[in-house]
Amino acid sequence: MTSATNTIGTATAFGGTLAAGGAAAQTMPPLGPNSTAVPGPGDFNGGSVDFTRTGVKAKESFGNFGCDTFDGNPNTPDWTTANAYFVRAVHNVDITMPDGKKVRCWAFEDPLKAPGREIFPSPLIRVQEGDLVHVKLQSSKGTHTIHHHGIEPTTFNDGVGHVSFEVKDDYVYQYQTRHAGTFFYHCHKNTVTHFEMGLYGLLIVDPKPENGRVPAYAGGPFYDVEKFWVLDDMDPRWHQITNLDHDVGLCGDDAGLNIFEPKYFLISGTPMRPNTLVDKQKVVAKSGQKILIRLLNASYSVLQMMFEGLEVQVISVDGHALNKPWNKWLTIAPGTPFTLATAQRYDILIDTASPANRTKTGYTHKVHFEFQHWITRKVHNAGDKMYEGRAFTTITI
Amino acid sequence: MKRRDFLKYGAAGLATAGAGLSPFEVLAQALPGTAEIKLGITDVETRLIDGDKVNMLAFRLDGGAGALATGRVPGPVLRVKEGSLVKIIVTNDRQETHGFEITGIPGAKTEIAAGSTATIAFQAPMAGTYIYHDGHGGTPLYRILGLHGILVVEPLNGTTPAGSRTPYSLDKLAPQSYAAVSALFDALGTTERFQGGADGKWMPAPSNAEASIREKIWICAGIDPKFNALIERGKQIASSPLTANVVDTFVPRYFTINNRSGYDLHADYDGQLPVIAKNYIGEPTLFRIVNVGLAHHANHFHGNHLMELARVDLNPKSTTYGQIIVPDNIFEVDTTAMWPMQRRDLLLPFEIPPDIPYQIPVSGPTGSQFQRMVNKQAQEPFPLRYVMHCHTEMSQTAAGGNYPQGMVCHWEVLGGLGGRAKATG
Repeated sequence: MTSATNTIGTATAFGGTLAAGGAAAQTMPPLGPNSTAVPGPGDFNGGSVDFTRTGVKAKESFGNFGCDTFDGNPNTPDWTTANAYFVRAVHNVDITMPDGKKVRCWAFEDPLKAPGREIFPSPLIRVQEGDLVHVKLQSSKGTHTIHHHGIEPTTFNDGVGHVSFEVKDDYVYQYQTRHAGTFFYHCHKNTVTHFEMGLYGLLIVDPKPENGRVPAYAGGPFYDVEKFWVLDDMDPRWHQITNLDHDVGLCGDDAGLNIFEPKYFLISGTPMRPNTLVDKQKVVAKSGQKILIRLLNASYSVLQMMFEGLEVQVISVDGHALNKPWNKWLTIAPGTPFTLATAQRYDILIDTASPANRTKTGYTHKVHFEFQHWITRKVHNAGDKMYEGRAFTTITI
Repeated sequence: MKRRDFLKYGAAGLATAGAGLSPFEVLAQALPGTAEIKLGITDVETRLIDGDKVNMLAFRLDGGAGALATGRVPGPVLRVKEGSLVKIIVTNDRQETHGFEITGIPGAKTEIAAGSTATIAFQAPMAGTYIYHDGHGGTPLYRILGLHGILVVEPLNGTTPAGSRTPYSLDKLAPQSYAAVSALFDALGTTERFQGGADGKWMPAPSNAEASIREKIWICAGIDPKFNALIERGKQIASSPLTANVVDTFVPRYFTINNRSGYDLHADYDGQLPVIAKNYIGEPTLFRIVNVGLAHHANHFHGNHLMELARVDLNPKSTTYGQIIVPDNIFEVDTTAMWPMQRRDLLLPFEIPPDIPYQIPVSGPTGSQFQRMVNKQAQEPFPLRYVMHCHTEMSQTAAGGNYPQGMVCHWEVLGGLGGRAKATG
């Protein structure tokens, strides 16, 4: 792996295809105050690309659509110097569940900033609006990809094998963030299993600071307390068969992947039990503060949520702020249930000083999560003291 | 692990109704009048993505230029103008009673005894997307076996004061919905984000909607072959523990859009309801997506966020339960919740995918990669292809595995603004 302090001069020395403007010493835009990136260009990955060996120009067939799809280590087409650089590798993370059993998960590792650290969900990618981002994927355990969900780059940088390619060893994904908001990134190879295994993490795009503070989006509200609630459910059978066979089911086997019966439910990597407070994920704020909760349904269930006692406002959906002429913030009254489909994100603002909430100071309010079966809509394992798909945490003001 | 050879097949061998005719008849009306539609209910066979065959039940279009020799799943797209008197005559070829109803249109419901014909007549309601199906006996059984299709009602007064056409009857909307819909459709073609001037406006489907480049109809469903195995030609479906509790015993193994999945959705074939939008930047495209299956889907688009236009209120406790909601708050989403019997209209703006590097080099911007692509100065070529798949990923499988041979298809950016004119001119 190339050093993170790689200089632009080094990169351009190999960069025969760089545009003239890409050379010489540049003053790179500084990273945002919350950025988790490494500054500078990182690895140079430009050069020629043979698109006929990928889904871009190869003839599609039944075989290369799924079972025998394109893979390789192509150069990044139209490579340009980035100011935010990340590396993501793939490693095992074992999570101990409330029943004492360990479940083998896979997660992305951050070899630059947290080498060897088992972080679940995978380490946050946090950048600033306008950053030119490079994410280098280092595959292991077979091929993988990264799809930056909600980020909309070119097809080659979108991480879908059958229209581009899967990454054998490494590839540098390139994009430039436009919308400030909550996104995520995940492996898009045999996605049904690799997303379930845990190959995903949050991706947050901050707007540029305004008077030294970072709002939720450009011109949007400032916040004092920030919390990520990423909801997941796990079927241990799936983890077992995927850990045994990276390509499980891909080439004709009936692996039962149309049947998903989760036993474990997690909030931001913390396993939950029904009727037991998830202490680690609770929110504590002071009177008058604004709380921003970034919510992602990373489960394969219909997620039903309910805030007791507090009025909340959805200020952004799927990374796009509700500030357009055709939309506006959505107010959810206390105690009103709402649902999120898989992969949806809500940015939720709780203004503790609002007329509805200011009388709630000094109290602890429950937040309920209910995981419902994707066909029957019934809560999973109803009534089971260990495995019921129901959990709560709290917000204390 | 054992590997199995797949059958390879494509368009070849799929019957078509006749040269130059779409088997999906469209009944476009410029003005409200009387529309008479004749449908049949019959048996068909469907070949699944892995080559297995299953029996299904289908609607067939009788009479008119697009008449079909056989039934098809989904049924023909019916398209009428708001306020029209619509008469639908349904002939039941099968040996058991079937039903015919249109969700959201009170009174548009009938029963058809074996071998007989029944007629419903109704005035076309508020513009929007409707599902017709067989809900006989209150079970989803016949619907999931193939008896479903789409009725599109086009607006009488869908044009904003600024001259932008919309899919809704603006004069029937609440003021705030009117304002939101107008703001969005007026923005098309007129902002930095949505360029193109008058050509950048949304265009309603022409009379032959299946040839429309600006409107796609996607009908999501699932197939559990053990239910299809209940169908025997010439016989009625016998009661069984399966038919007694469909929802709790339905374990879908195939997940379809317009009765196709995976590789069979990678291209459009003659004789099948098309799915793939292939357009240039500045050609906003309407997707009418419905879910006639029993699974809760989460349809995720790559490449562009979509604007969530109309949906159906599926909350039985709500005062507007079952009604089409044209929202006063139009979300921009990359994932939309498609619960069973949901009907959504979404607008894919065909804007330049926003995160393609647009200020390069980042240290002192002089250009954008998309413009370089248009100028043929970039390495990566058109078309840009972006997948759409359900993120509740069990739906991405077929026969228990075979990712991504399930509910996945894609859309394409053919080129930049005004590219169509250049391509044809």
